[in-house]
Amino acid sequence: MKEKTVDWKELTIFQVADITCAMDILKIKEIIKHLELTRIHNAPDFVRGVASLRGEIITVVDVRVKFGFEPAPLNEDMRIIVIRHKDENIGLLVDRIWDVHRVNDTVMEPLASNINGVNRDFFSGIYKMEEGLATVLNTDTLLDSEMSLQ
Amino acid sequence: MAMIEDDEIVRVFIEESTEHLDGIESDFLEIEKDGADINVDLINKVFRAIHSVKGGAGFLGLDTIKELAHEMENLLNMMRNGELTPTPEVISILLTANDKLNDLITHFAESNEMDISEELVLLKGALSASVDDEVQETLEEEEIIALPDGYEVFRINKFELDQAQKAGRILYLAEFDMLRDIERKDKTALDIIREIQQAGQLVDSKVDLMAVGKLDDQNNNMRIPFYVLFATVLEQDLVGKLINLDDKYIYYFNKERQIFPLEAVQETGEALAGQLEESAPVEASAPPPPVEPIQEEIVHEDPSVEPEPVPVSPSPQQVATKPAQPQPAPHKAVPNPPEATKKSNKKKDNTTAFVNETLRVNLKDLDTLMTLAGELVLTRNQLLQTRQQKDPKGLENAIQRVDLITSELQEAIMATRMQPIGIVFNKFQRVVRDLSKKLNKKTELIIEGEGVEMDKTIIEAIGDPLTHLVRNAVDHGIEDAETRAARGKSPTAVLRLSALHEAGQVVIKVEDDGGGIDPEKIKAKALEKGFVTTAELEEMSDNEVLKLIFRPGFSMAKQVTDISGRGVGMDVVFSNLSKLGGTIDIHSTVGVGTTLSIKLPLTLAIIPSLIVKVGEDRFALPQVNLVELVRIPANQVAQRIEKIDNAVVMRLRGALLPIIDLSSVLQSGTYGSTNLSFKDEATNVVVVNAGSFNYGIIVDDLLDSEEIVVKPLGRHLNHLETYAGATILGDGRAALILDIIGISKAMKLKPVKQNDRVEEKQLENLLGQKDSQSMLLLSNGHDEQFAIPLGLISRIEKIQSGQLSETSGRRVLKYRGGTLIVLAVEDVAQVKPRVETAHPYVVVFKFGGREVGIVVAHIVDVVDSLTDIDEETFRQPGIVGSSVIMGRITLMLDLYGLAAAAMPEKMVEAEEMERQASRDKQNTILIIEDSKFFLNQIKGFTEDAGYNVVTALDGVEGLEKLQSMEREIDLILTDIEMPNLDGIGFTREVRAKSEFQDLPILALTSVAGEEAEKVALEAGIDEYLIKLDREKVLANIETYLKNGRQN
Repeated sequence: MKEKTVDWKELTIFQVADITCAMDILKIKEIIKHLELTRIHNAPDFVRGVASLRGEIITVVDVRVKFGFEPAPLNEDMRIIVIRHKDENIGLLVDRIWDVHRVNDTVMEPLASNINGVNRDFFSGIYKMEEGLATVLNTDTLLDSEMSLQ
Repeated sequence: MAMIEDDEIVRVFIEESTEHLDGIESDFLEIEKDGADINVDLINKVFRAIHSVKGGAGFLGLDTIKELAHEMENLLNMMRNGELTPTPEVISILLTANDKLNDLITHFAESNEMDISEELVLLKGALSASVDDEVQETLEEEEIIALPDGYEVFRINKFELDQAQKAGRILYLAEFDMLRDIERKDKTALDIIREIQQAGQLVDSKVDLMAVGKLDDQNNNMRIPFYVLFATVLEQDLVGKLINLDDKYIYYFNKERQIFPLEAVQETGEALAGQLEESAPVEASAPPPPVEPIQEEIVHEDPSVEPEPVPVSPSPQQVATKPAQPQPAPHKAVPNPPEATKKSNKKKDNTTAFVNETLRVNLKDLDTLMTLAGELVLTRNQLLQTRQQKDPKGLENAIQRVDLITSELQEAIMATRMQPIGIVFNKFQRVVRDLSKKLNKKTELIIEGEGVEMDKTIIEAIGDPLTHLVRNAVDHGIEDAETRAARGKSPTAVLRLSALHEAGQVVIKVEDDGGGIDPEKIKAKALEKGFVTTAELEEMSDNEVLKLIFRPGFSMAKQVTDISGRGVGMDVVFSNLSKLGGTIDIHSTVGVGTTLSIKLPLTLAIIPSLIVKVGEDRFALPQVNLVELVRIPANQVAQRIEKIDNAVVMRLRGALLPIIDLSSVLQSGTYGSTNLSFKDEATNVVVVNAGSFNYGIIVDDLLDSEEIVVKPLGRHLNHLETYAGATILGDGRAALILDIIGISKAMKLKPVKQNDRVEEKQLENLLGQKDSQSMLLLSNGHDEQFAIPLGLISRIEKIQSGQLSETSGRRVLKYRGGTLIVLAVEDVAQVKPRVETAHPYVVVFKFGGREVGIVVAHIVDVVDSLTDIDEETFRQPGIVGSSVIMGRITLMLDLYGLAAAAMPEKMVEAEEMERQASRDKQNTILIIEDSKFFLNQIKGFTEDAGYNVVTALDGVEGLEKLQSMEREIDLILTDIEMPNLDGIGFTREVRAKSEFQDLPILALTSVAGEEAEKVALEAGIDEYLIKLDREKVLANIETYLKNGRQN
């Protein structure tokens, strides 16, 4: 009954400034609403701060700033997506979580060019939804590019 | 043999082996030291260790490990039989082999593919060089060990079998069944091996998977045979009981190595016959099938691959050129099933190295934890109950219990993490030996205090810095033989590595008796590198100059050697230690030696710290770095903080300190930007120590002291120098921990050059001749103000009023897992009682060898006060006098008097201790001091420390006392400024008399300044100390009493 050739996966769809992004749900450890952030002076500008997550200090990266946008003040819709990156939990601050879509590879397309002026290395593909396009975030390049953006 | 894919067994084996091999290195060195005069017990110990490794490895199919261990064992066996002398060459070979063995065990998964030919050649070479020709042949000859039915079980070389059968040992072959004898008895094969090793000598063992199929064909009585070949002195009738195996599965060998079933012997009652007569025994029972035909065919199937005997060659280069071929390889000739199975196991993850993730914990510690856990459960129940019953008093009790249990739990868990520093120290025997050999120096390493325990993380982290220091000492510190001879030193240099506890810290010392460090060379280097200017150098003492080597980028090595060059210098050691919260100090005398002392906290995980606030942010500041807290009143800010040559400095007791404004540092990250636009408010400055100097940090607010748990920062942030990590505060929010040394580096802070104006002022001070002291001002909420000399206080605690409780008429404070007796001024003196406040303060000081606190309502300030003390008007128990401070009459508290009056029984105790101490020390100190106030305080703490004290009020009286007591005085403490005859004049008079030439004289003064110090030293005073700096004064007394006058 299952199609053997198609890989199904679930994508979390979220918003960063005017870019709709997607991420494989299996990469996400948890999504947190309220976290009290402690800002870090002298830190790279994309680090929004650190937070205590059940006894562990996690770094929270502002994805807006990574994309080259201005940081936005914290509001009710914002969420922190906690992912595991190189043996460390890191929080990604995003503007809003939309939905979870169950998709297969057939609706994935390669990237054409830069997305709204954001470095295309940060994305690994495009997913066509009924509502529009979502770019699939590549968290490895996003988090490893720290030096180039400073 | 098949590699057993049972992770648990492998893990146990690796752990055990690591443990076995742990101390071996130092044992080898010990054996080397003994030389021909062998210590059989020690060699046996090493032998057993290697042997256990071999046994386990053989069972697990780790053939390379087995082979190497086996060869090492052969050498050791020769050694213990006195057939081989443990020369340094032989030991070197064994050490190299031991390194390899450790390496193999760590990378056990790949070990079968690793190359050990070099080690084998060396070991075999050493072996063959030591035995005569006849025996040597046996080395290369292999024998087959087969069951009576001719089924081949082992191939062992003859030499080894001969060795096994020596000294009356009988060789047995036992066939265990993996299922019945091992699995069902809840054992492992390793247990069996261990049992056998306790009573005998294991030769070889294996699980025979080939046999399984064979037997299975015939019947359903399935067996997985586990063969063990071993030798023991136990005779045939006992051996079955030893290994717990039915006799029908045991065979024995006679001297000709013919095999006989044990059962048969037993049945015919000829147990001893076979062995004693060494003849082919027993026709009675079924005679064993002849073994001879097989034996004929086995010897040297392939003589061409016979290992060539290599002479003992201590130089590895020579051997390295020989390829791996000498490995005995008769295995190849006969199809060997295990070889085949080995390949199939290659899938196993072969990159994993074994990291020891377990820790041995004292059972007692574990029991304590268990008890505490139980108590915690009970308290939780209590909490739940009180919540239901809404019982506030019960709640209070429960909270107190939780508090207590938590701190005890914390302590108990810490205890499980403590490990002796010997783990690190003992590694240096080898380092020093190898290095000395290489450099052709003779060094004796003396290790002291290896039992001192520290947290596991520190033990692990201290290794590298210490290695650097030790290598440095051997490479640069210790002179070559000729230089030592020329200097009249013993040809063998002494390197001392010691650890001891001191005031809650561990002090590790690396001392050598080498050439010392020449400050002139450091000066030249520092100038050349542009670290300092000539003018700055001139003002530095030799010790300060030495400390320059800790500056980043400073390396003294003339040329980069592979021993301690590498461009890595003391600065790296320094910063590594700083990361651990430690400090390092250096003392060196040219031609005599160098001492490096490292101070480290016992544990890293939880550190006491001060929480400060800057703007909206809170930061934790480790207390180790904390020197003092200074509050500058709004109207003094302008005078005390100023900008000199682009550096912002603060005046503190006549000296200048560099100072930074934390908020501007954090915003801009540069030092120069510290601006001086201070608000019209009092300014809080935290004075911190950054290793070689102090500096001040301006913060907005001082919050609380908290014990914080250090958490690391993520990879995006860990490059920031300003932070040492993060922590989670009581309210659940994260806060950053300031890295005091990191900040000073980032801000490029330097000690401020004291400018002339300040010196002038100090000179003025000196001429002004008034005693001035730092005083802590306190109040109990009324108009009465009290003062205590700051130098007498251990620390100040801010507490909750509820924390004080009364127990049998005594006020106590429960904290840090212990109790502190707390007094109040009104307990003794006729003053108004303390007004209850939410957060009273407890001033803690030492009395009679323990800590005592005094509770007060408020801390008013710390002031430098001219101590013109009226010793008449307000004098009463607990109060020595009064003075006018900040325009108010202030009562001077007599801490020792207060404590003695409030706790007469403690006084008795203290006196008892004192007597005890004075019996030990029996030292008498003459204190000369014109101010009764100071005299009392100094007398108080010196007597408290256990000395006999004689007092005099001026120099003239001092001289009289000294004359009349003749030789009873061991040391003199004198004030400088006194009527009639001052301290300088007194000292000159004393020094003029020949009998007092060696009497240490320490000056106690409140007047600092190099000029004054110079005059004093010239007069013959040994040390110039600040009057009420209790710790320092006592430390100096002790040093001088112990060592006498220097020069």
